[in-house]
Amino acid sequence: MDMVMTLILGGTLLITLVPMYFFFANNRLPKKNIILGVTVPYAHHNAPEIGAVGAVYLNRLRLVTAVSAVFGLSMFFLPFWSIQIFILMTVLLFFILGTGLVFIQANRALAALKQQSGWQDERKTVPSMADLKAMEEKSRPMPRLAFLLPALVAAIPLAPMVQQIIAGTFEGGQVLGYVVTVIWIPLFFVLGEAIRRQNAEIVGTVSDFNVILTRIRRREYLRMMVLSAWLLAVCGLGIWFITAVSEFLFLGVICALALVVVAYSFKAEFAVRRAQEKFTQLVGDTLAVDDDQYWLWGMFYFNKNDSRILMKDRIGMNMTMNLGRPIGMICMALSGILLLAMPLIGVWAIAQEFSPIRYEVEGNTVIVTHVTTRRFDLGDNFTSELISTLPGGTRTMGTSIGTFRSGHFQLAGGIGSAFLLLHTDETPFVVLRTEAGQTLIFNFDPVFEPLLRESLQPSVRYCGS
Amino acid sequence: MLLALDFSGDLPIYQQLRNQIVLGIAAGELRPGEKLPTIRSLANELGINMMTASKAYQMLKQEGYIASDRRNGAWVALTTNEGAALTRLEDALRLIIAEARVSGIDEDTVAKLCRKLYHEGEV
Repeated sequence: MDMVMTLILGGTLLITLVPMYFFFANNRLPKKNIILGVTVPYAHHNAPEIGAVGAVYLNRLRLVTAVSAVFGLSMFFLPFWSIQIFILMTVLLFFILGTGLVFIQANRALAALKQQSGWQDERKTVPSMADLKAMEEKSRPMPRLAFLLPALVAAIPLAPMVQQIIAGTFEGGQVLGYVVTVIWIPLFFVLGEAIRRQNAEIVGTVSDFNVILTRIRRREYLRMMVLSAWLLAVCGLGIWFITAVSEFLFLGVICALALVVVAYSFKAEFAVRRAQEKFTQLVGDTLAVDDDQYWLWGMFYFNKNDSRILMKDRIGMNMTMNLGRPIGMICMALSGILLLAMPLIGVWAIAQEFSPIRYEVEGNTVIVTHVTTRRFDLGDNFTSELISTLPGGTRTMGTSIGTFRSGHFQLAGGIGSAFLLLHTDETPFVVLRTEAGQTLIFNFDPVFEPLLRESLQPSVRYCGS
Repeated sequence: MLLALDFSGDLPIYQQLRNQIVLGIAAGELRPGEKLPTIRSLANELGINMMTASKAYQMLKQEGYIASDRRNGAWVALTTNEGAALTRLEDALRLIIAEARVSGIDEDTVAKLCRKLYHEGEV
């Protein structure tokens, strides 16, 4: 299973690098009147200086991608899952920052070239436009029914749990995960609605082209949102149903669906880009808007006069925040912090996997130290037993890295819901059932001997040495 | 019908918006009875404050270019008062002609330009 997870993690990383490379490489080609985030009049699109900037950009992009791939491959040769996660996160951060830096360098070089060559047309610096006909197109609401079916599918695992809760036989489980899944699907609808209300596409003075492009963009987003909703629904259903049959089958289905969504998002992005380019060529150069002054490094929108927070990107289907608005700046800063903190997930995983677990017993209280210290009061009437193997089960809420388990799990073998803090390869295990009804399972440690001897319940099966 | 606003220009945004809608009506891009977007969606589309869009619509309504009610929103409805329009035109032209005279442009050129622009916007 560990090898499968490594293959999935590493494979996902390496597979992701390929479309991302093509996505970034595509930026050197003209889209509308924009090349590498710089507005360049059509007459100069084929200038050799622009080709040279694009070539340097492509070479640097190849270097960043190759270095990322080589580092990514190293995770296949390391046996520890937490270190693999650390490598994965670090490589992803390196790739994102590296490609970003390469883009900024190319953007600055092209912007300087534009200024030196006098390619700026001051008469066309119109930053804000609206096409009344295209606005009508985007005013049509998204079909709610398309999201209802996946929401119902996602809710299927909740039905038996609700029945159990009503009957009073519910023993815990991943109810929270299923509820979150069901809630997320309407959120896709809400997100789709927010995207729909973004600006209509404007490629020129011919409203019909603007309407068609707005329709294409809207249709692609709707399909992507519906696909994502289905992915989530199938994930929920898979955790509930397929896992019981085969975890490999479940992982296979999830990977296949995730690939479909990723592939579709790329297909949609390039479809919109192609349409933008085609319609722009058809319209001609009559409406070449130059709003570079509002795009920092050709990437981030900054305009204090613009009341919009969520902006559609100038090319393709992407969105960005208006950094000129306080909320936009806060969101972008948070995103940046989260991005830079990605390797910390790996550091956290390493700390979880490699920190020793120390057990102490004070009277009827068990103190477990692992990264943090936790105290478990057993009460006066507790039971204890020693088991040689840990039954299989599923994680309800907690951590499962390599052989390390921490948190709440639903176990087979009549144990049911239990709190685990142990390494699965260190047998035997101590099972403690507190007076309050909680089941705790730890690795055996001599400090537990008094608890195992003193337990008065008939279920004690321990024979101390 | 395309609306384009220049945030860095000297003309107030509501005035730019009002002028472009008038130009659109004159050019036949907006026909009588045609619905206009809501103030909210127009403000959102152009990235301007709703009050700015509202001010432009109020101006247009007062001048008789559009009509609106709570149920149907705003639509093009040419109920302009010729006398009031003539007064506004005279005020605007007075300044423009003064500028032309100061710049040394003769009467005939100004008249020709007026005729040309008048027919340019003919539906």
